[in-house]
Amino acid sequence: MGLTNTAPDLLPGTLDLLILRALVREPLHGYGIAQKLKVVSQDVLQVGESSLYPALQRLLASGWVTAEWGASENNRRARYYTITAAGKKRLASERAEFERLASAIARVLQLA
Amino acid sequence: MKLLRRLARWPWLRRHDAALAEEMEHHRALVQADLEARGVPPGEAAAASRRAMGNVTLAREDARAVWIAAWADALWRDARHGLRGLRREPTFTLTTVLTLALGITTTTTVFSVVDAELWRPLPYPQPEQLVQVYSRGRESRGVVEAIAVADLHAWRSEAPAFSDLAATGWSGRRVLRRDTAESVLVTEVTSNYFTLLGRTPIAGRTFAPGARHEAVLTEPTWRRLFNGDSSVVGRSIVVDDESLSIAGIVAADDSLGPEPDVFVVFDESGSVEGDSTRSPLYGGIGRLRPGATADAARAQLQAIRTRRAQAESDAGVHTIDVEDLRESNRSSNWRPLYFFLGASLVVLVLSAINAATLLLARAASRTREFALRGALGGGPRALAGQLLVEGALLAAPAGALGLLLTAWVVAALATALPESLLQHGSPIPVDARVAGFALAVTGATTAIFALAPMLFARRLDLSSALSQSARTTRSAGEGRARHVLLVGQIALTVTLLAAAGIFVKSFIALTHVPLGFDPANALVVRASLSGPRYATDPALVAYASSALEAAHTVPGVREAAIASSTPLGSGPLVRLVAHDAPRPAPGGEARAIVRTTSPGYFSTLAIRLVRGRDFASADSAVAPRVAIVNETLARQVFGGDDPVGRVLDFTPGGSPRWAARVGHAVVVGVAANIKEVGLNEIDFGDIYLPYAQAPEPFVELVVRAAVPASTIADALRQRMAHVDPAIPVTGVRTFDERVAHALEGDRFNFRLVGTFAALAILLAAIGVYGAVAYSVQTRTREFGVRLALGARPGRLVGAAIGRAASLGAIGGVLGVASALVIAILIGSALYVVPGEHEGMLFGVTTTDPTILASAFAGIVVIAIAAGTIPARRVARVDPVLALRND
Repeated sequence: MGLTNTAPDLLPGTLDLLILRALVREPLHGYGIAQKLKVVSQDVLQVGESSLYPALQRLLASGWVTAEWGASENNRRARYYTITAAGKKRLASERAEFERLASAIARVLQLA
Repeated sequence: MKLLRRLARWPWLRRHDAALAEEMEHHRALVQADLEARGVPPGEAAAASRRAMGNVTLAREDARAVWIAAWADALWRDARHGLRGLRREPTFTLTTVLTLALGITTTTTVFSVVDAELWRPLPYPQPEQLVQVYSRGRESRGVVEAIAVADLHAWRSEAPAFSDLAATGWSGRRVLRRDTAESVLVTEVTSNYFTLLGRTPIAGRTFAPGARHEAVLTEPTWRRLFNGDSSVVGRSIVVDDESLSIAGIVAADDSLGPEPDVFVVFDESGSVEGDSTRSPLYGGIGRLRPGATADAARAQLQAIRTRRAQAESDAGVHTIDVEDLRESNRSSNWRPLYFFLGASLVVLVLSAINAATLLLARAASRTREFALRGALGGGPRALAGQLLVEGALLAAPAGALGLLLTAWVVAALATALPESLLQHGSPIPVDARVAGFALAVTGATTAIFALAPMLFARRLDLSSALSQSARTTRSAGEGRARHVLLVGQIALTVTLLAAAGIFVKSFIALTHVPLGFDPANALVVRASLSGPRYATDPALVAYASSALEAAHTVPGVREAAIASSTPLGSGPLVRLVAHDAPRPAPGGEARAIVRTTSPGYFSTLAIRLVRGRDFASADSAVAPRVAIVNETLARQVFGGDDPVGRVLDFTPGGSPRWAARVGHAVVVGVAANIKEVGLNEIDFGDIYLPYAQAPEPFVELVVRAAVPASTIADALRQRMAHVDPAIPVTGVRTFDERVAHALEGDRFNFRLVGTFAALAILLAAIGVYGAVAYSVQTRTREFGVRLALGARPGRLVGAAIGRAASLGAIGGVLGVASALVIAILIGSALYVVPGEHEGMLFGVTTTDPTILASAFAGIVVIAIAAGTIPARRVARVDPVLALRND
């Protein structure tokens, strides 16, 4: 593990969910996904490359995202990931499940 | 992890890896750019960005594992899906597996024989270094001459290309005396023979350098004579009155040709030249130093030989040949082996076509599945993957079954294969090499038959596939694909059928060949006279006359005679010229098989004397030399003239011994031709000499019995054994057996080709049956409508049968055409060429019109028969049910 990719522990499967969500608006390359998660989470979620790329491969293999080579802002070849229809479906169900779980945890923390 | 690394070498994974590496480097560059934008100096930014990336290798391995897992997962999914489908249709599964197994077994079996005979490297260490060395005379048409021992010594010490050089003498029969006398085949070899080859003993040792009076037994001989008792090592045996010590036992190995029973060490210390009791050395076997070439070796040996010839003013400068040992001892039977391999490949292709048509029929009913998968994003690659996995599920058990059956068939064949076909390879191994071939064949077959449904599946469009009911779904492409395959299959079958017909006709023609003698109730017994007691002519003659007397005392014997060899037993060749005619150029002399016979030989075997007389007792050792020639030799030497009374000279071109022994002889008679080697032979010239004038140490006693020959065989052998108990009596055979033996190879050929044809017919019948059954099944609704509208069932059945017949006829025409093309391409290689190869066919042309017509008619009949069974179902279609069935 590198020095700076000490992301807070994520619940299993959450990274997939976050990546899929990050791709809903527009296709992004790997760095773009990491940046977006970092910015939107106000620097809380710093996704390490060593977990980001395996996760992306997993999503590709499952058919939830597709990848295409395109030119990036620094004029180099970059792989842009696009969420597929199956990926959107997956995101919806994962998201519902996550919210159910999160609210359950929140309820326990408040009431128990 | 090791497995992962190995998988990582696969190209598709490598592509993934490269893409990932590029992607992550891009990521790092952006991090660096970001740092620089925030004012970090470029050098530090680069280092910091690398730190930020963490363990890139680990990340890549994790990503790679994801892909492998996905791939394995897809494979497993396809396999499960395929297995479910196959379990639902056990008849289809079983038929396909058996069909494929049939093809794989046939091809792998023939491959294992061909491989053992022709392709396997010699079973010795570094076989590529081994060469055969022959010394050929310049003047006598390249005949192999003896290698002088002095030459061998000079070559060994002065030719740097060789690390060692051994030599062998001719093999000959000798008598091994124990309690009884045994005739054994003995080869003399130099003491370094075994160490040079790298053959190790299974008991005792091989010859030590400079060994004398030692023998090495081969394993079968050791088991036969000594029951495999290893305490015989070191004991003495007597071979032709020479006492030899048994040095060791070697395992049987016929990769350099037939093995002798006993190897005797060649004594290199004495002189061979001029010692007539000793066999000279003929074949040299050398081991080259690493890096040395056969050409360099040849040049060195030739230079030494030429120098020595000049030094000794020896006229006999020989040409030295050095060639690869494997090539030099290559079987002469490659033509039939390649022919059979080709025929077996046809059977394999037929079985693959059958599997393809079966799969196509099944694929048709899965049209909707394929269309749906396509619509849901399964590209052609995913579909091909699925089909290949399903194909592999069928092919894997077929391949395994095929390999098992191969081992079984090869074991059964070991005894059935004629000697002519199996010269070097026995026992035929079924090992990793053969398994590898079976695997390759299975893989290639899978690719062909499994992807056949792709031919039309890619052209499907979803809306039409889904809008039609499953029962009527048939695409034009699919129908065409099936018909093309089926017609191709029928055509190949006709080709094999025609081949089988030609081989059968050839065999029948052979059984009707006039032999020139009468084999009925005739019998032969052989004795080899060797050792010092039979070193003189009178001793040989005395033995022969005692044997003849003994034979006459056996009840049932009508006539008997002595000969040095007998019909279908061949004999030594001599060269002859007419004494009173101009000499032909060297090499242009007539060649003839020489045979010495006692009076009565011709009448005993019922060989017709065309002119002149048989030998008489007056033709004794002191009488003028006489000879009888056969018709072929008479024509070759004397043309149309009457040979009786003319004189023949023996020239030294053939076996030099005969020229020296006989010199010349007066022709007293002309005999009819007989078959000497095989039934398909082109007539040999024969010359007969009186046994009393030229006795030979090989004595064959021929007997004509008044009763079936086999009934007196034992009595005859016993009587013969009493003549001289020290002489082994071997080879008791009836002439009927000899004729059957001569037909053995041809009988095997026609049976093998017949088996291939039978398999092809079976496969074609399954194919036609399947095609008609399938078309009837898919058109049930149509038939129902037509029946409801008043069509007569008989007409519909007739139409279905007619379809089968027309498939048969189209395939038949193509098959006859391809048979003709093949006949033109390889036909001439199938007939005997004297001195080059034995023929496979006799008395039939490869384009025999009767056979081609019969093959055509046969396939049409088979197609109709195979089509009739399912076609009759049409008549049983119930219109009401058929229409309601939607």
